[in-house]
Amino acid sequence: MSYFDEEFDVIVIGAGHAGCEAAHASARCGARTAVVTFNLDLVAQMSCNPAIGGIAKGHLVREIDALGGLMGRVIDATGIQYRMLNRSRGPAVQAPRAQADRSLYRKEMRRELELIRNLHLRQGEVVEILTADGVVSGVELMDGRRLRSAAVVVTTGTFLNGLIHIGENRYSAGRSGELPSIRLAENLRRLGFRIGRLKTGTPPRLDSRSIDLRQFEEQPGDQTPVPFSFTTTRIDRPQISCYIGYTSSLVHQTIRANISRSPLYSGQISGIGPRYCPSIEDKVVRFPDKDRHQLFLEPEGYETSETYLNGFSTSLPADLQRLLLGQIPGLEKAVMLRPGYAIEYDMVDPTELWPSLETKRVSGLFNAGQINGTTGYEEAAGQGIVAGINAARYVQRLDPIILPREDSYLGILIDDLVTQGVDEPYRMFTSRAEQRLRLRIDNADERLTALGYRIGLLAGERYETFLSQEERKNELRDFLRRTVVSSRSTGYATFSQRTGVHLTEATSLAQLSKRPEIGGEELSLLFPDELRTRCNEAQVTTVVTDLKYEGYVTANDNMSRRLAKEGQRQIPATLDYSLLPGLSHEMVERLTRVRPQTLSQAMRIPGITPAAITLLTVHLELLSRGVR
Amino acid sequence: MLGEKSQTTIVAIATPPGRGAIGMLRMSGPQALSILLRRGRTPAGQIPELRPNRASLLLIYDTETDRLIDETLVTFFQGPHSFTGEDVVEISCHGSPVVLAELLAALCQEGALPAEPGEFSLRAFLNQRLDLAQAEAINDLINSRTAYQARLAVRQVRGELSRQIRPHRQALIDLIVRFESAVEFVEDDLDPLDTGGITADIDRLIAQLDRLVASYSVGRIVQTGVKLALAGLPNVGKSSVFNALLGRDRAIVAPVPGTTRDTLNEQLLISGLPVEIVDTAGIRETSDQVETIGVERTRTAVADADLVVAILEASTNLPAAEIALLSELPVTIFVINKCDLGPVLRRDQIDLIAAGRPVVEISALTGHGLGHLRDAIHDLIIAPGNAIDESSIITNERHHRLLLETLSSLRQARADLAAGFTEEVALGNLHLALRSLGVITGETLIAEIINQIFSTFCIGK
Repeated sequence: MSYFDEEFDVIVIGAGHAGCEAAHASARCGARTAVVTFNLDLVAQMSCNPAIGGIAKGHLVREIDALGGLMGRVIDATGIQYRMLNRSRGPAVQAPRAQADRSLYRKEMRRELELIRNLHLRQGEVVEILTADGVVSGVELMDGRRLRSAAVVVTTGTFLNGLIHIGENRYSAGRSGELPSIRLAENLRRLGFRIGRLKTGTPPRLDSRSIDLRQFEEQPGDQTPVPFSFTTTRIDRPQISCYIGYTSSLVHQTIRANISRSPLYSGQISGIGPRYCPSIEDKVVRFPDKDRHQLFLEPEGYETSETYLNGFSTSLPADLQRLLLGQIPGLEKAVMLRPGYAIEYDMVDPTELWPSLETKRVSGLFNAGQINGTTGYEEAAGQGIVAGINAARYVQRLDPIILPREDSYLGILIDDLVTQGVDEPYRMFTSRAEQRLRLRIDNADERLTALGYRIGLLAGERYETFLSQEERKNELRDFLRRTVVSSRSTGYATFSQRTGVHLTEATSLAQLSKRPEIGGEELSLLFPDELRTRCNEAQVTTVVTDLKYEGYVTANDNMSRRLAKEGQRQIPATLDYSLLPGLSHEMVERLTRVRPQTLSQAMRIPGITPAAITLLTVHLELLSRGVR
Repeated sequence: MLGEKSQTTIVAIATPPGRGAIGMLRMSGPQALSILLRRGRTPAGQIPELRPNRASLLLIYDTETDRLIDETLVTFFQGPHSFTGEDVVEISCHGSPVVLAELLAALCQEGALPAEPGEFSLRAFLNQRLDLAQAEAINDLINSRTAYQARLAVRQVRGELSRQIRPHRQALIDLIVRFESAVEFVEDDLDPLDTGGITADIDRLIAQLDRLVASYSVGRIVQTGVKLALAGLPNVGKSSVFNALLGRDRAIVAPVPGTTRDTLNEQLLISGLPVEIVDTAGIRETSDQVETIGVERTRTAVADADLVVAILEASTNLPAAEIALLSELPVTIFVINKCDLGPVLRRDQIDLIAAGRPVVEISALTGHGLGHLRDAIHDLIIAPGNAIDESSIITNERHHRLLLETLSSLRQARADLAAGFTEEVALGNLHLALRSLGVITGETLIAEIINQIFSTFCIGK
């Protein structure tokens, strides 16, 4: 009965972006870990566009890296075009984005996983999560193997009950050309989880040799690529350009004329898709006034002519896709290697999770990635690393790591998911951060590296480097506050010429750095040579940015403190909301489902009215005052 | 109260203390009806059937002695369609304090609890019959002393302030959305941000909120009133003017210099505005110890006052030393009293002293010119031509402070953009402004809301 083929501490189901980070983190934190996947050749497959990063997503990658995760290092080893976005804006909203060589990315990720001694790759399909009395005991595979473990991390991506749509054709699949997880989906339903259904889609892939690039605008990468990982010093690989083009009004006409053939509009698809990543048929229908939509040609790698047509995600029938491609300027003769498709898949309501990502229903079971209703590789990886850490700590009987939303996008991501749930695929935005000016890519290490080291995820050597860099930054901070410059200072002439700033009176470097037109590069013109050689550009940027944003961060902190004071108030776990006078039935239902632990969590539950929060606050206050 | 629906029924006398034609008790809670029915009978001696929103004649008895306490008119409001959201009965009786006290005692004997101050409003708030701004306005309404205050408070009870803030809040959200899109969707094919248009929009919002904030100078006066001191030399008739403005003989008046030895304060309305008027001792050098203290108090009263009315005597020439004394005072209006006795003071002399400040000639004795004096005072409080738009007046100190915070954040955002900072920096302040604005109507949770609630409702220890 209880025979097991193998025993592990933690088993990760799935080896996508969430699964790889989860397995790596769990193993690095000291748990004997297995990762089980359908196909070991497709580890860390980029099922959608071949790119990592972007605004807010790049922030997530930096944070994963600062904690000791893999994504930043792997993209740095396989990126083929780097661009720093929002360069014209401040450091808080700048983030890197890189095109990846899809195949190299898979290989590099697998290589990283295989480097870890107590991490074991297994190929197979998990069909059941074994539980006893609401506690995880292992998994069973399709081929009959049973693997024992005290914790299981589920990262099923789009595989859970996956259903691909291409026009009227539909078939069960996990990704294009891969099997779906049907029995596991049934298993999760039987365990009692609330299941939702989401949808996503991809565009067709083209043969670059059949594209007339003269009708596209070249978008080269940055001269000097800015890496994702704090451990990458420089990127020397050759950079490949992307190309920008546009649809035409003819394309739009054809889509409108054939809209009934789109499963999105014929009622065939019921899952909810991401608003900010709409299919081309959605764009045409929702924005009838736009006469063209932007398209990006993204190369899939150095050694392939396959090209990803970003911006043209579609589930229209394959014959129609080919017709439409022929109507796009420059793609008249384009050869379609793979058609675009939409995929529907099951998700588990993330309000079923604790902030550790462990399910409330089954002890030792963790969910991460698209199963929690998110979209994006980076969002998946971010949950993966946290679930992996906490699965290992669960087995080791250590308290879970809960990242506060004030300190990281990872914290915001998880807090949003477990308190708000999702009603459409969740994507990260910088505007989700209350403290946007502090949660920057340049200081992710300051926010997370000490934690990564403490929990064992990050090697001692890297921590040493981090500490010595911190020391440099502290020196630099002191120097900027202490040093007063005037028009007679060394380097002033160049500084003034470069910035257009003319000093009429002596001022401290710290004061100067608050001015919008002065960045780290400009300020260092006023540094003594010795200091300039000792501190690198990144260190100067962080220190100068801290000073620049100081006043704003403080003002925001003060406001947040005013708001948070009551927000920290604990809500008794036994509170029966239905007995609170004045709360509507709907509010009672929402609060009961999420069971917020604090008032501020309650505030973030979607649909909860301010009035309901005020009421709840008053009741908690009355309770603490012992009023009748 | 937490974890259980409010089980208690509360009762209180709703009319002010003292004798009146009609008195009223209000009772709210799940047992309001059953408690009443244990004591009330129809004129025919039946147990009454009260229908919601109807008034019924009801005899209420003292059960122990079977004695009729009073013949009352009872209106029943069935929850949730009542002020508190619970079952409410309002009992109108004869306005004798004795009757009211007996009715209260009878209802309490049947299980009603005497209400704490503000407890009816608290229940209304808890049952979501009122938002915070409305609850505050009810407080203002109850405490209003003038028809004007009451009118403004009623508007706010009806949610006027929240309605007024809403378009500004929406304008601010629109601004934020434009900036956020520019920051988040750099790779999308969006139209470039129209920075000029955005700064113009911020300016417009600042101007609108500025107007709302400016209305507080009037709103504050409407709410808390102004202090007006009557000052002058001895025996010029300050107390007579005081009595004339009040319309009754409050201060002792005698033709003896130094009759008024202490300051005397009274409330009155001038064109609907609440004014606290202070009669003072005449200012002069004196050896009388008591009078010296009185003169000291006069100086304090004058220093505290928002307006100082200097009273001169028409029929006397002013000695130079006394002109000097008057010129020390921060006078806002000059009143020439005793005009009935014929002028001795020369106009040029008056103009010299007044130096452009308003001068009103009156006779406290005959009442001549009193209307002009009232008008002059009103015009000084509310500048003439500066008509009050009642629909947009801020009267609450908390609202005023939060609007100032909102404005300061908006100005900072505006300044940052002008200085060359990019969207993400300006956004920080725009979000702060949005939060401050939300706090006014209770849309943002904040410790001070809690404090406000508990100071408004006065519950708990």
